[in-house]
Amino acid sequence: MPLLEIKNLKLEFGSGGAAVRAVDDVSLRVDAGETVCLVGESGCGKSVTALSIARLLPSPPARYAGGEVLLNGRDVLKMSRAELREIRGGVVSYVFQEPASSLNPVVCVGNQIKEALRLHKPAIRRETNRAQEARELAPSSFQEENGGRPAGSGMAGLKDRLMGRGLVGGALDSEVVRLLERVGIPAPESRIKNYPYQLSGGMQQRVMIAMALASRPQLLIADEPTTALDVSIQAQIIELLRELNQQLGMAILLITHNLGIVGEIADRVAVMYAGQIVELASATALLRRPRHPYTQALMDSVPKLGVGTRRLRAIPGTVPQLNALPSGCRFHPRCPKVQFDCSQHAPALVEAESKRWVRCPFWK
Amino acid sequence: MSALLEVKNLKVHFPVRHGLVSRVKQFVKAVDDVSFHIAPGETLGLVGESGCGKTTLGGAIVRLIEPTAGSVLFEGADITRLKGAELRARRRRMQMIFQDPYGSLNPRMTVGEVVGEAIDIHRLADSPAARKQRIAGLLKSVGVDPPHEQRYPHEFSGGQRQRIGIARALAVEPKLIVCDEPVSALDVSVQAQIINLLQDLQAERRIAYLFIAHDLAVVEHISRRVMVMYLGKVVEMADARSLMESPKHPYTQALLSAVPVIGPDSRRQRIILPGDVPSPIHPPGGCPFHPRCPVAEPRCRTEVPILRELKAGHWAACHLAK
Repeated sequence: MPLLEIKNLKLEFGSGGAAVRAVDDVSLRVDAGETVCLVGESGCGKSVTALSIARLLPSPPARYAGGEVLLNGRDVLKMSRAELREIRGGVVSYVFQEPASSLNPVVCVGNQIKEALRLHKPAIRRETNRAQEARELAPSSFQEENGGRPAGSGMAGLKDRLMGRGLVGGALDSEVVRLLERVGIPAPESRIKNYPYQLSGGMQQRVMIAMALASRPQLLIADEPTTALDVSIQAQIIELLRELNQQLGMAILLITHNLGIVGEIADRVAVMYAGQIVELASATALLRRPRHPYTQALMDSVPKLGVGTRRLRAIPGTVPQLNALPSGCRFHPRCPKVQFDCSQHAPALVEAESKRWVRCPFWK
Repeated sequence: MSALLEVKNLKVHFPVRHGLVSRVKQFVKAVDDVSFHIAPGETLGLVGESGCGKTTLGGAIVRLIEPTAGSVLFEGADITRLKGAELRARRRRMQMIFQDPYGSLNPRMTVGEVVGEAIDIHRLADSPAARKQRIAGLLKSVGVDPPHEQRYPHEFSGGQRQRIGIARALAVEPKLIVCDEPVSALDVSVQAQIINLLQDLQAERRIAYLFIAHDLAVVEHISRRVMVMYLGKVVEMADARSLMESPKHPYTQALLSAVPVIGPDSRRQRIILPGDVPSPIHPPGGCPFHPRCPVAEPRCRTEVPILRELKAGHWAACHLAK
């Protein structure tokens, strides 16, 4: 049984006549320990597909018009709130593009990671509960450990206690240090009390990854994790993801617009255009010989190092709006290999070669 | 040699104020002793990571940012000493294109007004009809349908907006355009359109570009010469091809190896730099790159390397470079 199997997912925004279909009949599989890349330009539906995996899109406005998202064989789209809470972080964790806006600016990073641990690691929670009992007997040092918040009374205090908040459980602390060390943060003990603004973008992204790892998920979904970072830092983060994949056997679904990253990390790739997968293949095969005209055009339009200053082959026009999709093949107005009937018939995703799917009848 | 732009020992230092009376105790040396030239119709690429001072340098050249010391000779006149009408007249010949096509166009002005404003300020049209014709011509030359001049920026996609920003820069017939990351906010397929457009315009009008970007592949593609900056200093400057084929500075070598290359066999040996760019308030002593440098020697910690010419036209600031 695959770890993740998306079957014919259809996702719409809005309702009635104004509804647009952002994801149209997308099927994608991720096996345990595998790295899959989802590639496409802005608005192609790659991020909303990824968000659907843990059903993170608020509904409405999002509406699932069909399909299944099977995580370990269970359909996420039919889960209750309690079941969803279990898989979010438990089975699937996310890392987003902008670490600065994903982290809470007024909570130090150690406490943010602890929150993930408390919610998902019951074993550690039990240990810290014992530590809490010990502290309650000697409450003097309790207050200042609370990140500036008064260790309140009444409802807030009760809630804090139930959540195990404001604790310095030794096990929890050492787990946070271990996680920060795992993601390559130097001198992690001194970083626990840092606030996000005290860390660089690369360090913030490492903290995000540490939070995602806290619950030991089976699948890490990274949505453009390096787009906001400098080239040398981007290389560090990609290297880290590759290591985590190899050493922990954690599957990764990486969403990116950068085809260069695909060759660095992916086992398989899916290319999306205007809400549909247009090509799905192993990374090596796709990069060696792209079959779909869009994949080919995308690869041709990127300047390559050391090739000199030949003219770039740009793709004419722009990505279509979802409420004004072209008839037939959605890429036909921009396609260099367009044929007379491309505007008539919408092509299906067909298996062109073994384990290689292309949404274009002229792939040869 | 008649350079269009000649920058000599340019410094931009920002004061850091501390305490109640805001005493200046430290300086951020955003641009520290940078010299270079650009010939007419040439493209000089400027690469570096965030915080290296590349945008500050671009701003100081058109004097949007006041330089602390040094000179910027543009067509023979020192921009840093000009005032009022004289400065305005010179500035007409140098323009800037910005990174964010969403933030750099006034949302309350139509596209025609955006492009026409520069024409009005410099009085480049003598009648309303000539003005209109000029705007239409500019929009056409950047690939925007002239009837669209009645529309507002929000009605356009990112790529279209960047075209409008280019039309605005072209309106005053500049000889130099400082392009500050003009394609990094755009989608991959649109990036290529804008790069091609910039190259076509250069061929037609013999405009020189200072092309600032962090994407080495883009910079190599468009530039004849490339300059690499690190912590406010130029660490390497060379012909684009010779920089790509035999980078001399360890920082350039690491940057080049960090660029993900499209291809099935790209899991190659890479130089992964440890750590981050240090804070420019407390730059490391000696060579600013030594804490991250894979080949640093004891003297790199104490001696500041100077930019020296290793072979014709190839300059690097490294003690060990040969």
